[in-house]
Amino acid sequence: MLTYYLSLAWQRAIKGPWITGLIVLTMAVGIAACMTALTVSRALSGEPLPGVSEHLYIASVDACADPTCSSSNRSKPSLLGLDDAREVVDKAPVRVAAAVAQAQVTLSTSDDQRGGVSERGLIAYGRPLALLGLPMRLGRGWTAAEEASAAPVMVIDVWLARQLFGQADVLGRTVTIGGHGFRVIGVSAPRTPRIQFLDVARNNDITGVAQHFYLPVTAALAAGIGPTDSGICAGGTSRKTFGSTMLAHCVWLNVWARVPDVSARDRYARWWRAFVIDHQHDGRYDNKTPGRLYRASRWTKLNNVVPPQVGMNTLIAFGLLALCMINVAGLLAARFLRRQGDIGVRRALGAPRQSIFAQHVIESLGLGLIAGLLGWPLTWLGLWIVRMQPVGYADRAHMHPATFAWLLGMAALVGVTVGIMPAWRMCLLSPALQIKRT
Amino acid sequence: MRQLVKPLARRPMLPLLVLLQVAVASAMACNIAFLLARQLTPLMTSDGIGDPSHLLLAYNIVARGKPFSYAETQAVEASLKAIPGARLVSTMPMLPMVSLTSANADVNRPGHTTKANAALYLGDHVMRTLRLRIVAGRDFLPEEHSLVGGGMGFHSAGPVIINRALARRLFPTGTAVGGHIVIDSKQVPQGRTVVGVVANLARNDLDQSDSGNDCAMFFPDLPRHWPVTGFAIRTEGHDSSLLKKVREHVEGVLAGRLFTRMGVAPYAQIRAQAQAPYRSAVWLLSGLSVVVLLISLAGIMGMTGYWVQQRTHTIGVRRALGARVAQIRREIQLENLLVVGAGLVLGVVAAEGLNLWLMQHYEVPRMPWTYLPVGAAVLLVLGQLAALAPAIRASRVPPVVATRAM
Repeated sequence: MLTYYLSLAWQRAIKGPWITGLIVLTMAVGIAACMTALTVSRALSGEPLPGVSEHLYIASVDACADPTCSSSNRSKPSLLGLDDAREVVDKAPVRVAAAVAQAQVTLSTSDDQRGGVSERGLIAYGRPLALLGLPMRLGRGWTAAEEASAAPVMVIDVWLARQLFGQADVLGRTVTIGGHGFRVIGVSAPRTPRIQFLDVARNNDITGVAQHFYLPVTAALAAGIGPTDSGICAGGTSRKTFGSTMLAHCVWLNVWARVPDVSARDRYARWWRAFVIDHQHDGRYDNKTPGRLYRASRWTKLNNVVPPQVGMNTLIAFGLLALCMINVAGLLAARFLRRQGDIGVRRALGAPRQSIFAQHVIESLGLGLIAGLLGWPLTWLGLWIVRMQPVGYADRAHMHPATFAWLLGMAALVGVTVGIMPAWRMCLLSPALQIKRT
Repeated sequence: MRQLVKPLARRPMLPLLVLLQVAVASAMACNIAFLLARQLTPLMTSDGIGDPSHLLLAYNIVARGKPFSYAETQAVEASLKAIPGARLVSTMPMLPMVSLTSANADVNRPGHTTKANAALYLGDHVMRTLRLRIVAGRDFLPEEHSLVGGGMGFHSAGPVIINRALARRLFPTGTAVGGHIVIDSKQVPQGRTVVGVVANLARNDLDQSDSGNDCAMFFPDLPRHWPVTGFAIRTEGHDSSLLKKVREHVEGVLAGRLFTRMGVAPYAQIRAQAQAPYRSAVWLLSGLSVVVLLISLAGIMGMTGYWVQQRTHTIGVRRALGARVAQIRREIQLENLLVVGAGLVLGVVAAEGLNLWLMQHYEVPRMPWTYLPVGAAVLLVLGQLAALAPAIRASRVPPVVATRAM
């Protein structure tokens, strides 16, 4: 039966090639617009670092009560001074925590001819590698004793090791930053988050930035290495510095903690609220904002890491699909109704309503699937247009094998949906009248 | 009217689908047009820079550690002035079309409540280097240049030059020159004195100006300490070696002081880059509106075509009974007007609803009501165009059709 209905549909399709073309093209345009928007928004939603960031929480508070604090309009308040950050990392009821700030430094080796490479990495207190779930390829992270004694040690990732030394096995070798030598005690796997979530205040990037090195904060500050910028400082913008260690009046570190389950999170949240209230009573923290914890994915959303334009484009694409579907439903109804005489005959010869309905839905499903095939190159075109845009996520607009499955599924769904109403209309035709009219 | 509605009501499916389509299309078209206009504003607003092809900007000059002192930036300025081909050099912490550093503040007149958010520029002889066109008052006098510490001079008295947009906002009647403005509502008794008004001066935070805000002002002052600075250089020729020389001079004077690699580029290039996201968004949204309108056109055409074909016999009878060609045509067009009009009523509601939803979720401002009638008019014309071919075909139905058996 299916093949018979399909052959009927095919005959009709080639009899009116223009209107068939219009129906298929309209559906294809709507489907392709949606697939393009969905591909982009899927690439930019979900967990920033799958498998890890689900359990990562940032401690948020406005830790600068001074009215002369320079404002940072991009991110929600989350920065702490070094002493507070240390206290939180040491005393909070969590197993793994770290205070981090991004730094941009020039790294070189003793036999470097090129004058070094400038890369981004983290200045950290606590256990940043355990926090980010980074597997160590070689060596280890720093110990509390090394941190306390400001031992000049560092961990770099494999990528940076190859950049600097041409190989990954670099344990015990020395990297020079700003004239100070740091001994490599660990080499970690390289990892780039899908979406930026660490230090959103110092990154305008939408897609994640790889952090290539990890420096213990005491050793870094002792060597004159500071964060990319000094965060928020009392005394206004003029107090702001870049890459310096003049941080006495500034809040500049984010505290992240790894929390395995809900009860641990609630414990930490209670502790953090109490900590903040204590400091608000001291007058050191701003009174207006309570201490809160945010999950990594929520944090990226709150800080608008992914521009709202992406969501709006998806909305427009779905609007376009709706328009196309209404359009196609009308065109299909017109197309079906032109053959109401044939249907009358079939009904008179005993065809039940169900098979009339099935016939027409199958026809529109077939047209939908053809539209899906045509939507494939159109989606490719749409993603190409997105890649041409001067936007930070352009490189994410790529087709994946899964996209094709999604596309066909969507095409089938659209095909059936637009066919339901016209097919229903055909079922309602009464046999006798149609024969009389012909 | 009754004979128009009756056949529509008897077989309502196709007219209803046309109606629905018009509603969705008009809701989308109005909102897309509104978004498009917002992206267009930064492209259409004049930046006010005279002779942009002879202007270079050195930007992203970031101090490593201690902020630059006034003496340091003056040394750079002097060094840049010595380059043959450089006619004027201004130290400007904030540069037009460079959004890396921008400053803005709420401004009002003392004793007045009308506030305007204005972008701020600082610098020495900005007017001459940027070649801004003055429309009232005068340029700053040499003795008015001063140094401000611990901020940007928001709260110190002194002169200010504002652009025409800000003048219109704060001094809607009368002249702005000689008036006073207060910044951030701080208690400086008389605030800053407006000494001049320039025709145009674009904000450097373009994302602010897309909401139609193009207020800007500048002070003759320079900060004592500043972590990020820039220089505007007015040049004589188009010599491309100037770019390299500017870089050498800045990096030479500030050796060991720079945190990142600085940027140097012709102003026109920086402007094109700053505007690129807006330009591409305009193309994208225009393309989308064209697609929306084309789909609607094709849909209305196809459905009206069938609608007419279905009634061929009736039309034939009416022709046989004496209806004229023009009458039939007018009837089909009128029918289309009725259906599209009803769709537009729904569309206006949907357009407003969509705008409200966007306002809630995407920080889109309220759509001015003028978009609704304009959008409606466009779709009415579109509907009439779409009905044209079917109407002509209907009017050509010969009366002899009536005699054929049913």
